[in-house]
Amino acid sequence: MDARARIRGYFVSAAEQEIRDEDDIFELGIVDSLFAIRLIQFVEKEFAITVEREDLDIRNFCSIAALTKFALQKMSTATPLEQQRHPSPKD
Amino acid sequence: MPPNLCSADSLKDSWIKCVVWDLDDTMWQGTLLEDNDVVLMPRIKAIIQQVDARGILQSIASRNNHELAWERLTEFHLAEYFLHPQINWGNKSDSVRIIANKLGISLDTVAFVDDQDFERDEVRFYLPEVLTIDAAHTDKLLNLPRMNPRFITNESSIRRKMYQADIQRHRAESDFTGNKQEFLKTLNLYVTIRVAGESDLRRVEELTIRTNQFNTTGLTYGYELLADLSKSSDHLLLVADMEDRYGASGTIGLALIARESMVWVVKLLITSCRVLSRGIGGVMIGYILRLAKQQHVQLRAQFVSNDRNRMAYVTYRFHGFYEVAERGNLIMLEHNLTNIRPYPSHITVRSSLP
Repeated sequence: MDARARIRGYFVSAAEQEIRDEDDIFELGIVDSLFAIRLIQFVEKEFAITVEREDLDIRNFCSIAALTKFALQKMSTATPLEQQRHPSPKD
Repeated sequence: MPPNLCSADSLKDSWIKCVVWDLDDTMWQGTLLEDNDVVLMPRIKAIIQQVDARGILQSIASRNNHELAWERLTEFHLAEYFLHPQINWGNKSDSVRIIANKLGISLDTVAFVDDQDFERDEVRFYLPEVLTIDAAHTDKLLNLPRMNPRFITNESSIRRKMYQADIQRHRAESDFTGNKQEFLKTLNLYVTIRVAGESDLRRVEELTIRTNQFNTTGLTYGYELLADLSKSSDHLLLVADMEDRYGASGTIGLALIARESMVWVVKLLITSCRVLSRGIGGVMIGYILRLAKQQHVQLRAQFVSNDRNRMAYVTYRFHGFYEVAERGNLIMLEHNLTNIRPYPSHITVRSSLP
């Protein structure tokens, strides 16, 4: 499953509703602090990346599309150690 | 004056949070199934009411016929005081464990009152952390140090009612057929944000000590300091109360803002874990943003990271705060007061401030 599909799958099951790739999840009103922290933990675990303080810009998290772009970008700059921890197929 | 840098652990609550009562020859004289006309033990009703007033919860662990026993308790006008009663033919240790579990409290905060040695022994054997009390000593219960909680706040007397409202809320949520968003809309949630008064200070103190996750600095504030701050014209101490169709949830958020003429700094923002995932943190932030904008001041917020409060940092950032400075472990955030998001549609925000 590609990154976008995995992220979409997570959102749809966490929010219990259909979400389009470009929908602004904050405007949909589904994000509270618990949802946010779980989303970050999902992305870190799923893609073997670390979300740093400077990454917590809303533009990286506001939609399925934005988050996919962010995750892919982080993966491509991930250190070899991070990639070793959780090898996953790139797309 | 710097806030108390007490570690949350040293103030850990070993007070009793729940008293579990046996019935036959403990709450009433005699055995219900032998003599339906049981009479309450002298003064037990007053004791139960006093325990309740202190914010200590109560339950029942009794080997009895549930219907009959509950009916009797209802006739005595006592049923309302007991949460998650376990009236069945099982072991008392199982009952006590179930009660603690349902209330979300640890066993070392439970007291169990029973007239029978072997019942107390059984509970002590399987649950050594539980405080067991011989029913013969019930009249000394209220004097035990562990039964005199440090935090008697303005919420202590309604704690049981808040729990009961929560039980109903959870039941409604599990019966609900839509998603969480839709469920939240059915709750009719009101959040009232107001300036903290003197009667709020104990609860505010409790929140600074007890809250770990949605806590932007982890610093605790003692009563005296809070009293000074609440009266200081350089500070604004806000509290947020929540209620819905099932009842009040009490004071579940606080914000301490230091006000200089052109800059406000949010020194502390806390929301209770009681209301995690209701969106309260965002509501408080949204309110502060609106207030700052209206007052034409610059808005900043302090953050001290620890291993438990990432959630609070994320919430600040996702509401548009960005880092402007870092000094040691203190992070300074700022908001440019644009793009302030509307409040979530499931919450009505009320305020006594302009």
